Amino acid sequence: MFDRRLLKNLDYVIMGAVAALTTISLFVIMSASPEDPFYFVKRQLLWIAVGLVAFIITLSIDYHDLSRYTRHLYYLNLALLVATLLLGSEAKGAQRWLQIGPVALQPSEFAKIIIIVTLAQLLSEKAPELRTLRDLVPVFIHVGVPMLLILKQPDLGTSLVFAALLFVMLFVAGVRWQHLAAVALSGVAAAPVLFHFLKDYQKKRLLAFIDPNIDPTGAGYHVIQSMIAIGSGRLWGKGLFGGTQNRLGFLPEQHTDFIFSVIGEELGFLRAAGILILYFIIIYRGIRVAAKARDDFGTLLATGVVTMLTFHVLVNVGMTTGIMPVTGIPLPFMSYGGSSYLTNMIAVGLLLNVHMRRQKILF
Amino acid sequence: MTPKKLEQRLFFLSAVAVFIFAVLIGRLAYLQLVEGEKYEKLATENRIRLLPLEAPRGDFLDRNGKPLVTSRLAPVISVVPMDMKNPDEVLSRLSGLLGYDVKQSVEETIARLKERKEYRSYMPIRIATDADIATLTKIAEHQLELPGVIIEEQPIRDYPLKDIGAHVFGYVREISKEELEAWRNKGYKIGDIVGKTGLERVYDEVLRGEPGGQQVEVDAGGRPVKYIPNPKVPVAGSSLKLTLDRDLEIAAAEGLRESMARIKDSFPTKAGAAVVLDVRSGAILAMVSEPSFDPNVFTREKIPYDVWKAMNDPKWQPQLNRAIQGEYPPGSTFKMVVAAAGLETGTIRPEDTIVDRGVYWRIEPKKCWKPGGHGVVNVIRALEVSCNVFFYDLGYRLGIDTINRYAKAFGLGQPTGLELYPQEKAGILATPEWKLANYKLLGLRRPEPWQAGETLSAAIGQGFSAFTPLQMANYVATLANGGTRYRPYLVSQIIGPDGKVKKSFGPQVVEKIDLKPSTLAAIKEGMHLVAQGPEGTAASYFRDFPIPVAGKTGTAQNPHGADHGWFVGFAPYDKPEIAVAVLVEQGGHGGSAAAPVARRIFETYFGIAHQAGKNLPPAPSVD
Repeated sequence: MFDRRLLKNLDYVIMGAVAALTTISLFVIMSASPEDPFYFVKRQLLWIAVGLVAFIITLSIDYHDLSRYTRHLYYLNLALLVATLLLGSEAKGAQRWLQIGPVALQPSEFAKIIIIVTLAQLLSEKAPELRTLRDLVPVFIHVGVPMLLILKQPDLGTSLVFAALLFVMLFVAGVRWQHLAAVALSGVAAAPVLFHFLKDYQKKRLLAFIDPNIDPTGAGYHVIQSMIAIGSGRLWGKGLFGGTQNRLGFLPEQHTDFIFSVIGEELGFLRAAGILILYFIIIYRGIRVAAKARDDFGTLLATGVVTMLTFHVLVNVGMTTGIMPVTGIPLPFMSYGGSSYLTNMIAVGLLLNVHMRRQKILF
Repeated sequence: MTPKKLEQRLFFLSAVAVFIFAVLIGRLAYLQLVEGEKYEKLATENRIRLLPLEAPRGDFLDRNGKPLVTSRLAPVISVVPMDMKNPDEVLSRLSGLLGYDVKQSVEETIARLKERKEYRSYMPIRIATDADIATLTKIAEHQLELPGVIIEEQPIRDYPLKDIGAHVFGYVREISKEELEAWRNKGYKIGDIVGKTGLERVYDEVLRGEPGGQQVEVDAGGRPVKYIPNPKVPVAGSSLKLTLDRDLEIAAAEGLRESMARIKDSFPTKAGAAVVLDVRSGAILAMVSEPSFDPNVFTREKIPYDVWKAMNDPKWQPQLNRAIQGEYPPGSTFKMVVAAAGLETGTIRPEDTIVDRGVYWRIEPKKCWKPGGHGVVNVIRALEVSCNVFFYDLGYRLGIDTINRYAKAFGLGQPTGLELYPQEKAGILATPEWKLANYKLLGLRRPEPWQAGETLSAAIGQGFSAFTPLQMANYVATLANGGTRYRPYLVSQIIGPDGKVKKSFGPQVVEKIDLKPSTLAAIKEGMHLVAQGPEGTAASYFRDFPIPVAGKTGTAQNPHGADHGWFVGFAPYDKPEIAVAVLVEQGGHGGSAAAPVARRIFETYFGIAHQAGKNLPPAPSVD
């Protein structure tokens, strides 16, 4: 399937970091399900296997071939998101899941990958022509349509990922500073308008971030308990399965969105910081992949993957430590959840794909 | 883009990444190293508990704003699993004080919460709602031996009318496993109090409001020592303004009870129903079903056995809403349908007469209820004296299909569209096809065709057809207002907790029946004579009534016991405002059992003093 010379070009450091995060996550998920330690782990193992297959498949396709299918991918993406709104099942007031046979998928997760690919393709083609703000309008529409569909679910966190992708990928595509500043400013200006369209619980979460006492029983309570959990872990942690905040049920969603609270409480500062450094290694080397890519398409693909991962880590860890609002964004490779894991494995697959094919191979 | 520019930008990106991770690790260091000691202390003695604050359910108000169903504050005993040092001991002690075992129910609740991954050991589990003073005192006295047991005030449902209107209002109780499953996406959780029947159920999502919560710091025994400021204030549910009139509702229920008490020696019955409609809109002014039950008993966890047993009495079925779920043959109250069909199709004219000699011979000898017959009768007099022979003859000439066509136009044998739970029955409008299809129901071994004699029975309301009291009331209301059939409704407004009207409901026309003025005049005159004419079958109950009344009695044969008594009517006769239908199951006669109930309702509506038992002659043996 692979040329041996290609395999030599794999970034084993990134792969090692991903493997380490995945392995650690299994133990933490186990600890975070006090009622039935194997319930979530068993399911997660299945998703890891699926993720590995997806990773290998992603690697085996030359990323250049992807550029031919971006149009199909883009419309498939829109179709899936519309289907989710129309046919999807609800959980906690949001329409995010699409049931396909026995598996429930979150199309908004895959939408992130698809938009990275299609936007990279669009920008690599159009970058030289993006001279005025007006030239940027088609790009905004390209990202805006799926973003609004996701906001409609409503999934604020994921739609913000789209905003980050748009901004950073435009930046790397070489759009002028002034234009970027205009985009950022208009984003800030639009925020109050968007705020108006949010669901009540989302507004509450955002306001609770500013003042946890506004919603002390909901999001505010969660953040307070999460901070107690992490803080009480101190330097060495309380040991796996030893976190009282986790095991006694003070933490909400501790196997998914708040898994980092368990990490902080049970593993302590040294190991929690170590985990953050593992993420940093992936991201730092990811930027190098972008720098060394053979073409603009590859550079932008790598940039997109790096942006997505960074945004997730920042927002998730920021939320559990009380410096970001509660938006329900999972921690890559560690939070329990199949669609998220699968998405991140495909994303890393893309990254390594770009890295592996950075040189022209002469036969 | 030039490679150099790209390199610059990617370098900038790396710097941003370094910055982000520095911030995150710095924040981690601040929480875990700088503030670590403080958080460790907070965690080891995590004394913050989250007490849910229940939202008061929205009220039910009558058409004039008088309260029908409200909420009141009541003491609630709960346990916080985390604070019960020794759960077995605490729960068995608590069981002793309460007088019944709570251990099993607490364990079950915890198991269910765990199953749904909703279990939080610091969240209270409700044990006893609205406990009596003696129990509360005992618990307070043994406070020290009962760590983790807390008493808080929470709003609970209150039905001040007790067993009056219970079928319309319904009752509330803890959500069941099945309901939790069925309403998965509506935000319900274990322990929620939800509407189980009646309007409580139909409008549960409107009524329930949004619960709040309060963070509380507790002592080692789990008792609150400090309330952390800024609780999440619960949002009260929306209220329902009903079309019911509180006084009429009471009058209807009491009227039924009085009447049943009066006839109990000859007809010992407990069951009946009454419906009052505004003929100008279809608004339901009163709806009662007897026997009833007190919905207040459901707010407490423990229902005393004798109360439970009485409520589930298999003979009288107090939980059955007979006004919409009871299906009864209409008896002579059906005769207006046949009269309308005859007059509208031109089969008879108002002045056409027949001679009733007491027996109708055409198919097989069928008797009039009055031996010797009524002599010369036209349609008006036929209604007044409820002459069977006249309607046998008219029914024979019309045929079953024409009769049924008019019955259907008046809404008989089909759901009226009222939103209530459990849902209304459709009733049965028996057609020849119905008889073929339902032969088993009729106890026949094989399908048998419709007999001509069955058309005659149908013409006097004694066939296979059976209708609900609501359908009967709506049919009379349609006659009274000149042919407009409305969809009966109970809720006129949804009023938000801020007092603003969120939604209004008004009259909805289902069908307009084309009826000639002469048809209406003849039928109404006949009905007026029933109530206030010289020979009217209900005249003994209304002759002295100051408001002109129109009505019709009915005595429906019942193969399972004594005949059912019906009275349907409207008033004022010349300018109709309200229509009533009263049914007394196995009440013997429509006149004696049901007409006095209607009188009581009319008295209340028109503000005429009620004189219990006065002017009510003993039951005459009329149809």
